[in-house]
Amino acid sequence: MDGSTAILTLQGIAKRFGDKEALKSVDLSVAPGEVHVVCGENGAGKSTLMNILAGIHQADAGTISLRGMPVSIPDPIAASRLGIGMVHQHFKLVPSMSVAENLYLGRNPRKYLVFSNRAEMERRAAELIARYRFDLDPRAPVGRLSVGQRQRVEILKALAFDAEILILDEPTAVLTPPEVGELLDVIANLRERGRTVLFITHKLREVKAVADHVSVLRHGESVGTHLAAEVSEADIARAMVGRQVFLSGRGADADKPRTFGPALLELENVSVSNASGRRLLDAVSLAVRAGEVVGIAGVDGNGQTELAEAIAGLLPIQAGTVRLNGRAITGTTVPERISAGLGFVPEDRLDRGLSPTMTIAENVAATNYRRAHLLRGGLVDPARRDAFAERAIREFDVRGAAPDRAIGQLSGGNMQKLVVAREMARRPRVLVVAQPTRGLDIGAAEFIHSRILEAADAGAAVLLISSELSEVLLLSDRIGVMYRGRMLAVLPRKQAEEERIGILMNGGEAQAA
Amino acid sequence: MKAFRQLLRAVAAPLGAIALTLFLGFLLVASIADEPVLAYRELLFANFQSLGNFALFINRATPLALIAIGIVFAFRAGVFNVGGEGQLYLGAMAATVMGLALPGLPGFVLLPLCVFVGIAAGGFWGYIPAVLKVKLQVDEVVTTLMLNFVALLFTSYLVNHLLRDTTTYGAISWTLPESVWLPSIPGVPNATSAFLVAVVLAVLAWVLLFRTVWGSEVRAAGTNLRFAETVGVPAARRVIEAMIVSGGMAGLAGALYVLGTGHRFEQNFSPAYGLVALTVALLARVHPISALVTALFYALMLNGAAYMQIATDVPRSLVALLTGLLVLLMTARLRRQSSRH
Repeated sequence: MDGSTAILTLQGIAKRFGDKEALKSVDLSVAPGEVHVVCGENGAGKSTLMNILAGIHQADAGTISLRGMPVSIPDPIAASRLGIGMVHQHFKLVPSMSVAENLYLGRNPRKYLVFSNRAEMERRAAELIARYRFDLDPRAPVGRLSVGQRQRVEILKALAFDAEILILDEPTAVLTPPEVGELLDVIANLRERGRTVLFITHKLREVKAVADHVSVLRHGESVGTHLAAEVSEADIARAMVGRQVFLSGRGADADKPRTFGPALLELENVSVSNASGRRLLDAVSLAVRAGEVVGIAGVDGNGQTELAEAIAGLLPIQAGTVRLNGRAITGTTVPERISAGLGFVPEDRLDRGLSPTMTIAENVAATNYRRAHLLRGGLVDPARRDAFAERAIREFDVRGAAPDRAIGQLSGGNMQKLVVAREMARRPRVLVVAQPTRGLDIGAAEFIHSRILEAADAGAAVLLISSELSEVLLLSDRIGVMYRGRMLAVLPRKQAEEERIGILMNGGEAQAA
Repeated sequence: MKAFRQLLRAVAAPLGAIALTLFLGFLLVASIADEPVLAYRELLFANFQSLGNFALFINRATPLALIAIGIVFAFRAGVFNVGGEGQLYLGAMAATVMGLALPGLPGFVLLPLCVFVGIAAGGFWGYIPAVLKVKLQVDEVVTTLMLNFVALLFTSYLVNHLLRDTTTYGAISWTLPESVWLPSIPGVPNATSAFLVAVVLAVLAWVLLFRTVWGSEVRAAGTNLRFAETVGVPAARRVIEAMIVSGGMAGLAGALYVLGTGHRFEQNFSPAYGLVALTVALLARVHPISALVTALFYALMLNGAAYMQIATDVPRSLVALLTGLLVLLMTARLRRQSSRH
């Protein structure tokens, strides 16, 4: 594709924020009517680049050409006039207003020049929805829609402006796997109608099916554009990180015989119900042996969160037994379980994992004051506590961190590293990790994976819960699948073909299991 | 050296805000007063002109500091304790009742008893909203505020109907036996030695909050309750404990006021100490040591305004303007800092 046929061409785009060089020199050429994926790790400059196209930031250097003509995009209104629409990762919708009102916010059709013409607005919204075959009710308040539906409202909003080029910023980050599938259908549909789609992501795997070209950004520079059909996931991963990526886990050498110790974590018919009596966990039984990694796959919301919290002691168990190292811990408190040798990495680091406004040292020390001897004469010894945090920072390669900084100022990957560091510092016998790499870039994810495997090699029983099937397949010796609070099957890695797991995740074989 | 520089950085902004407030206030005074310099000299320095004035200044600062330090505990546990006033009154009343009930006991027994029941009464008044919040998710701002009225009306009933000194006018209780009167600060007649207690407690509060596991657990519960649960903190218990400490400090302020300054319960002894202390705690960035310093500054302004009014034509309500300005300038800084990241 050369510059003359491209709808959008970027040359030498550079942008700096203070002393941070977000973009050094980016070239990009997008053909009309294609789906162009822009990949890059967190911090590679993807969002900055798209914000420049959307008129939110202005480039310091370089040229933007639209249909061969150089243009300047001073603000978002100019961008939409040029036919560039952006769907942000964080939706910009008014929850209390209806779908139609959100679509026509600020430019609603008028009656007698002053009154908003509601009927006309809803008619046009219904037309727009029908044209793109979306499943939306123009009168429904946005606050009551699912995340996937809200995203479609955002897309429609851009289309209502007649956007020719649609930019989607990490659209899959907020979606569940089935919703991702629906989004891809929407994108394919848009391409059929001749729209150009720029798709920003750091997870190529999900979008490869609909992509025409893939461009990779690394450290603010473009490192090449490829035909999507001609590159593998590993190629792209290598281009994003700039080196060979460690993608081998236990899944890769499943044939290698391993011997495991005694079962350290045992669940026997564990059931949990919520206040209204709905079964969140339904007679779940599971055993994880010393040195073993058991992965739990499943679509989000099928009881994985409850499973982790029931083991961690955060959710009361109505029936069944949990045993840790042979001892029943069913009714014990969180600190008792921690003392018994449990390590727990919760699924949401900002919710349960950390206290963002407290310092790094205090967050890392939280479960370790007594065990790591951070006290002197009954009082916290700041020197020892800070040294303890320094050690975690060094061991987990957390850059730009000092013990007395608020942990919330770190990047997601660095926060997650410190949560894992805190839990690993006690050398737990049983380690429960939930969604350990959600939202992390490849480098950080790879690092955390290797730490999880090291813990298992050292003899810990590891329960890995993840909605990323690739992660479960990569790391686990055995794989369990959860569906509607039930453990449908626990398969040895060799029998766990991706297809079979996929069927189980959707409740297939439910009768058989 | 590093710690000192950190401290300097921490106090630089509040000091800047205070300086700016005083400067803007001076412009204000200059525009309305004939003798602005004299007015300001009275406002700032009259407190130190005589030992008597200085004692009054100390007596004003003491309850403010004690309540504010208590409120720091509540804030750190994530509870907005607006009930300082009620806790203060109950503490004062409990100490008075104890002192009047057992006048025959020797001072070294009765004095600690009075202090203890004062703390207990205030602590109990902090316990109620804490339990309601933890168990039933009742908003503590409402409960602490409402309990203020309960405490004020209840103590008003007691002082008017059961304890009233019938030999004099006003809603004033009988005077406590002299055996339980607190001594003055050595060298400063009439300045309550309760101030020394406040100084010691400020340091102790800092140690408790920032150098014990208990303190880190309270702060964890206050900043992220779900995180606290996850790392094994009995979060609900810590919140309740912090509120008992908070109420207990206000109760202590009441007890020590009665024992050290008033020597009896007066129905209107507090010029809204509880609410002013809330502002003090917030302006001190929820830090016990700076709460002590801020309480001193507030007392300086409150008393200085009275001298200013006597000596010049500037009304004492200027001080309300100045404190309002101060709150504005301090929070303005907070906002800018939070929007930076």
